[in-house]
Amino acid sequence: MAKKPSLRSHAEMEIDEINLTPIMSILVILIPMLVYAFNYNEIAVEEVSLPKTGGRGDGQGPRKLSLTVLLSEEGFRIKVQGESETGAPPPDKVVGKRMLAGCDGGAAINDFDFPGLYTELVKLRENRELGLEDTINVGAKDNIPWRILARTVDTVRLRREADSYQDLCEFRKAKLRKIKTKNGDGEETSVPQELFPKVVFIVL
Amino acid sequence: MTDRENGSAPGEDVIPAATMSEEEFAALRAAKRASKKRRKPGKEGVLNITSLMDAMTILLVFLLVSMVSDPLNVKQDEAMRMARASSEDKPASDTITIQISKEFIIVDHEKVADIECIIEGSKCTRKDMGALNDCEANPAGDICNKKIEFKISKQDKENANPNSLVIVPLKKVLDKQVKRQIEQLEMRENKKFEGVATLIVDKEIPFRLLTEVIYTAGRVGDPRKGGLAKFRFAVMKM
Repeated sequence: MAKKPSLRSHAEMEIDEINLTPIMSILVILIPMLVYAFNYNEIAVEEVSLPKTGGRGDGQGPRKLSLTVLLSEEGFRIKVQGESETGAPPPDKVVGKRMLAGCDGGAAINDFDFPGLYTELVKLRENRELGLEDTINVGAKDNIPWRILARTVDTVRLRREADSYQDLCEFRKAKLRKIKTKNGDGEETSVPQELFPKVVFIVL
Repeated sequence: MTDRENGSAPGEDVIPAATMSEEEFAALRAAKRASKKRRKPGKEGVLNITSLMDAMTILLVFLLVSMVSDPLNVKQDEAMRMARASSEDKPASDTITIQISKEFIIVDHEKVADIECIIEGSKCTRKDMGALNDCEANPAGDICNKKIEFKISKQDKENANPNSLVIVPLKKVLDKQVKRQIEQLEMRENKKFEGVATLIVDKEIPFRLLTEVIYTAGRVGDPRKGGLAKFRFAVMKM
């Protein structure tokens, strides 16, 4: 005989719980593996262009001087090239390697003088009479490693808080000078001030 | 006063509350509470791991998505150590990624060419590569003053000329990648190809090898639709 509907609906059903322990065991192994493989370093990019071929040919605006930084085992050579309406460009400036103290109180090492390069470039940028282009050419000898070039690109592109630095450690820790600008949505944001924003790699 | 009010089970010997001190009364209540909580014999407790499972599943999905979607998420080891800089420019997503480690050139996770690492005439080991990475902090190290070369074998160069700047297998792969990206952007998304390549370069790679890669990449593409012209170098933020 059929049960009354009220009794039927009260019948208790027993549901077996899924055994999650094997899945947990896999997860416990998998997650530390992925955490180990994950790269926690913050990545940024430095933009570099290829040299353009062909002459200016535009005839628009006054001619500007171009700046080139060449790297060799001896250090940096800063060249100002081109024709200027204010006279001949200044002579080449050599910023040689020198003994620079390490940041963590380590022994001084004979290293590329990035603070010296920065100080010279700021002087040239501030010299309004020269009217330098925003583009800077960077070239190096074949054996110069990328880490030196990366730091050179970093030095020539962005302006720090001070105009001059002597100490490498102080230069490394220096904050970037920020300027306020409006973004695409019209909101005010602060962005790093650029020294020579367009970097072009050249082959010697 | 009733048994219930005393906090005792019915039928137990009850000391009237009025005759007990406050401490005795508190101790009696604590003992009774503990006896109530005592687990019944023969019944095992089950740990509920469902919520822990949920948290771990979310973590797993997050890690997998982050690793797969980010082309700049490169494992740093002896053969690949990125340079440091203070740039704040964020990497773009729709670029062609070229990785140059101490061992290979890789384009979008595809191995393209081998790099020969030679220290004073003999092939580098992983240990040498690790020691080379320390030269930035300690330039006085033994290996730092040795003659080190990173080069592409002449078979992979244009016309098998070791002095050529063109790396043939890299050009072939980049041509394919650029063509594919132009098609994807113009046909599906109706955008213009900007010709940007992101280079992830090991910090010890010399300028010559870098020049060869950039020169090769610069010769890729269609003259009407454009090729690779802008290069973004990935660096670790200082």
